[in-house]
Amino acid sequence: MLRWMRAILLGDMFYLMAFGLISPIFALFLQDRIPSATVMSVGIAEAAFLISLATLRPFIHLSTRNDSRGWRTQSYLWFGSFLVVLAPFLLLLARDMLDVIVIQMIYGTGVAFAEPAWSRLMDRTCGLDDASKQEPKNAANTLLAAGIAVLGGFIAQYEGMPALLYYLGVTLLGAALLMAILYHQLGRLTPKANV
Amino acid sequence: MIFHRSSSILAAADLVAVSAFGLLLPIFAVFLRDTIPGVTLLNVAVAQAIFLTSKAAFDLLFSTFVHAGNHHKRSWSAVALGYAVMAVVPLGYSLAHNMSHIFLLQIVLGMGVGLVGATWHDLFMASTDSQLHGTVYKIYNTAVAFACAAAAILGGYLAYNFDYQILLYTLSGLAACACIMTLVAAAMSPALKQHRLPRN
Repeated sequence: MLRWMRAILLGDMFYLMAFGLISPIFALFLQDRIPSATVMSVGIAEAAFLISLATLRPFIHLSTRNDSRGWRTQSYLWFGSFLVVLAPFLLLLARDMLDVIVIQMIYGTGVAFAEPAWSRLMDRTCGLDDASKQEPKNAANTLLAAGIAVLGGFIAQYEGMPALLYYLGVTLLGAALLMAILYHQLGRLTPKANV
Repeated sequence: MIFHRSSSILAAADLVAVSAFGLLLPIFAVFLRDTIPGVTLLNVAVAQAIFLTSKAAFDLLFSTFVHAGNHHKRSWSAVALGYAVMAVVPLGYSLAHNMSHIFLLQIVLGMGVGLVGATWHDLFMASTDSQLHGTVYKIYNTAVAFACAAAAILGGYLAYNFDYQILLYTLSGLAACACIMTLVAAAMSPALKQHRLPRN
């Protein structure tokens, strides 16, 4: 597979996670579907995601730093991806802000667990260690995120929020499977000591 | 000391600026719906897309510009100018009446973020030991995430209990503080001092 295509596909997954389809309109989604949602509770929901991500991130990075065979990182990838894919479907079932805050924490935990495998793939597979090579890649990913944001708004406007969440869940599932396949290939192609 | 004092001030400036925008970003869609008449979900998403496109374009443009000439001088100027532009945008939000104003402001915000994004990382890492780059960056990312979490709660509190105007003025003031901190860091930067010496 072309390096650039691979970089964009990998970046695609995380932009879907972080900025993607629902992020620009997440606050409106909460206000429309959850009766008790206020701007204050929307801020708390966002904080729940960030706190769970920032709290777990150092421990996950430390535990996978010397993972010479990569099996632990791969297990974390599967577990994290499962939680991330679960989040949009759980949001469909949310009835009050407490549900949303818990779902945001699950989502943050998922991102924290999937992150080391993603960064390892970016570093090793795409050969993007050099900062100067990362600039066009970042620009391509940002443009991709812009396109995805418009697509998310379009789906939410004309098909409704549940359709957007189903679409988001299925897309994330596809991205997670793609990541898992690429990581498995990386393990087979790279000598075990260097994985 | 892991890095020079000017890099510490630069990191603090970025933390202040990122936290400032963390006050508004989680509730930006609600802010638009409450203050601009006729906002739709598609409009909000297009505003976000315009910001991201502008950021990507200006990031590449300024990165090329900065690396083409006097690297240190242009980098420090770009970061300070970027924060100044970011400080102006919230004032524009408070005066906006329709979505075309918001779209225009999103382009300007993308320019500010692009200016900072093109140069900030190089400046921050310049005085750090290359073996510590990964660790320093991870610690910094974690600090940013906690700061953004606190800012999201504070932003929601300000908007819920007071007014969007107060939130926007706070945001603008914090971005202006980041600009001043960058200018102070630039004055202390050893690379710029060395650059000034041959003139005497």
